[in-house]
Amino acid sequence: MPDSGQVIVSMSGLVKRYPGVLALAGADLDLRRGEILGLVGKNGAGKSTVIKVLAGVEKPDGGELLIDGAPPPAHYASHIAHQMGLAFVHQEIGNFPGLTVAENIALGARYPRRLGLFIAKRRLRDGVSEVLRRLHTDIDPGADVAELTTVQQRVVMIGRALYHRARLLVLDEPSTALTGREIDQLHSIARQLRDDGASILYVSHRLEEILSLTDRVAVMRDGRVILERPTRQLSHRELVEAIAGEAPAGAVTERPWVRADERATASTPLLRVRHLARPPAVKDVSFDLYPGEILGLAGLIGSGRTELARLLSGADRSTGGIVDVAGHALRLKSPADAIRAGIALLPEDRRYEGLVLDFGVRENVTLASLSEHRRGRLPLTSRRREAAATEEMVSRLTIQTPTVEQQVRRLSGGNQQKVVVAKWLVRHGQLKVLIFDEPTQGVDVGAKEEIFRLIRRIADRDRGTAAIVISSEFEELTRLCTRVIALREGAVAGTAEGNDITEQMLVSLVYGEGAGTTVEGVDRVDAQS
Amino acid sequence: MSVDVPSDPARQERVSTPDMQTAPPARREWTRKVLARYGVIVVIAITFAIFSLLRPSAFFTAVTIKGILRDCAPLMIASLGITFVLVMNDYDLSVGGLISLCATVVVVLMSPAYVGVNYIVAIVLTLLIGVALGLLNGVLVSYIRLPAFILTIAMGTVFTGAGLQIVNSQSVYQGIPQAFINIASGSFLGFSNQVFIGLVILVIAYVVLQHTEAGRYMYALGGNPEAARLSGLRVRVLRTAGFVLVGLAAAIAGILINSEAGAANPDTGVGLLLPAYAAAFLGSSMFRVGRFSALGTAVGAFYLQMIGTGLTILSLSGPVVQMIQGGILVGAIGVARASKATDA
Repeated sequence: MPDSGQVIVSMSGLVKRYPGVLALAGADLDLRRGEILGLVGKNGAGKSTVIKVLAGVEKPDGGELLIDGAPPPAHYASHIAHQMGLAFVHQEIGNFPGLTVAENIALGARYPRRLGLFIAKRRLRDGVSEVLRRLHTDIDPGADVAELTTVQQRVVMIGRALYHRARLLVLDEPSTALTGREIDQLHSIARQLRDDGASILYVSHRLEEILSLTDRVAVMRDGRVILERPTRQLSHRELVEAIAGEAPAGAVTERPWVRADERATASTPLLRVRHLARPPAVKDVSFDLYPGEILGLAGLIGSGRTELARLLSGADRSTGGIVDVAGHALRLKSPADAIRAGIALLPEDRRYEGLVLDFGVRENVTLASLSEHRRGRLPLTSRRREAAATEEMVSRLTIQTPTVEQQVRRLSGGNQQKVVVAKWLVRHGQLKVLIFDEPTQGVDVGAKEEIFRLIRRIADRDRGTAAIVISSEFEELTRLCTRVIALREGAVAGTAEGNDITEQMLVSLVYGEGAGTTVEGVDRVDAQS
Repeated sequence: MSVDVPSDPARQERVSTPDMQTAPPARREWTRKVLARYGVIVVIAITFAIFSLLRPSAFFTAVTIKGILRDCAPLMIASLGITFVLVMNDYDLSVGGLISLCATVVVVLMSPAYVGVNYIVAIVLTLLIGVALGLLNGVLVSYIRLPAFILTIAMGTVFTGAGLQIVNSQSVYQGIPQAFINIASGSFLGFSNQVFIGLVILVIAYVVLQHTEAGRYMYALGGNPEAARLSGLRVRVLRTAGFVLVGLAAAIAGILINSEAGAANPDTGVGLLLPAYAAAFLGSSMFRVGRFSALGTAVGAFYLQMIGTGLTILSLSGPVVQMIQGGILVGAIGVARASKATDA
């Protein structure tokens, strides 16, 4: 195994600023021939920005990118990266169903032709077969990609890179949604390609595979590469510590939370969830939620967080398990059922799931509570009452809008989020559990604090209400939650509560295995055997 | 419980100046906005003026204008039905077939040559049949999840065929009671009864869409179905209701048409499909642009009828009238699209 091959791509001191965020703060990274480099880090650590710079999708504000020792052309863009032999395989499946495997793999290169007009199918198949042979797979080049399994689809995407003679392959979370055996298959392909001299940048949240597959590991934090070392000189624990970083001195604040012993004495939980499932995303989840709690759901992308929230709110139907509210089992067939039982969801994608963009602020705010703003007894709406209720929300949540009739399309992200919150807050009286999926995504700092305050106010022990918060930012969970459940691969991987909720703790729960901290009630998943 | 937050000037700026980079120069923007909002109304006024100038003695008379109001009633009623479906971003293209079938059925029911029940019973039964067929469409679309566009074309063909089959493709003239003919042909205060019937239905449609919870939910559903569902709206019930209203409106329109004609002609409704959509789309290109509304649809139907009548007075042939009406629809869609582009 060549440990230090020739450097294909070299990045040094890369800086990239987005409005309000320093995504890269001087990142250095070399990619070498015949090597698999693992890239790890928390969400927001800068991994995806590095990939975007490499792919020519983003221009760095500072630093240097060298390809084969020379700066890329001035107008470096994704098609030039492609020509220079850099290929990117994203975690979303990017194939074209309806086309064959061969047509997918050769897409973008000129298909071989007959008479300059018709696709020469035999020659196309032969060319693709050769690529597939290199990948040691028995996928039929004539099959429709729609009929392939997820791992086969990903192999097709890698095949496309090979067909285009890529020297450097970036695999972004390639093991997402794959089973153990499929991951092994993927790994042997990656090793094969490396031995053939390719350079592979392997991005993953799964530390087990990073440790077993890669030759070298780079850990990113706060826009920098803070650790770079041959894999065999690294332990799982060192890796977790590098990803999480040092605990900021004195950062742990006292917070009110419902202790385990208090919960035990409380008569009934507000929400009782038992063996809730909807495979493949949610396999078996059980937990209780007590009045006054702000329960965090931590987990990596693909852990089933959002899917769990959708089950609880009736947006999707579960295939098994029980949800009961105050002792009554619920039949959650639609969001309307959940809302009647007092559970509402503030979805992650507010523009597409939370708001009617063509509606004004007023119409959005009152959408879920229209029957409370009637003129009389008939179901006629009273615009005056609606406006009054909306005005109150606008001032309570400090929604920045010229009038309550302003189209929400024209509001900023933070204000749009507040409108979604307001929609549920106006019928606060009837709601018991509000589920926030990534409530601060795309929201600026001021609005973020305000949303935090709101969530704290919503979870009120005396009124018998609680909140569930999903966030990819561990820092948010540590600041906000009274208890956190970590999900891994559709099941509860552990919990932390009160002052035990630290970033280190969450990282170790979420990444699993080898974390040295004490954890209550963890069902460990033995990933390495 | 107000929360104090230091106002952030950058945020305020973002709110007050949306999409400044992409906005065209102010004057062009202004022209476009005015054109978008009032363009169709201006065009209606101009059209009216042209007809009046060309045939002052025939067009610009109380009789003609009352005639336009009368003749546009069935079209407007059918088009109002469609408006509900369009608001929810659905299509019901079976409306032509529905009108034909209902128009035939009402006459067949009352004619002694066929069934021969009392004309009021016939009307009630026909309305129920319209509702039932609309319900069938609605259930197939929103519960069975068949694609509305092609399904309703197919259903429309079935309805048209059924209407023809019932009367063996013949027109029915005999045994139609005068009382039935009087419904559409009678008048009150100098206006045809059809004008009043149309007006009542317009008011109901307007109130439902603008002032009831159901109407608001329909617009929400059209704007963002997933957000509507997550807000607890009964999405499938609402969509079904839209198709039911189309069935009801089509039955009323069919009854009025044959009451006016005093006969059953089994392909009455086929020619109404395009004008009904044209009226609704014309309506969506005025007032609040890009949004279907009851008032807009009514104005659209009036405009189409005005052109039909005007062109007849100018003694232009049927095909020419068709070409002009189709062309107007293309123009209306263009106006709606252009003004939407500035909004996005």
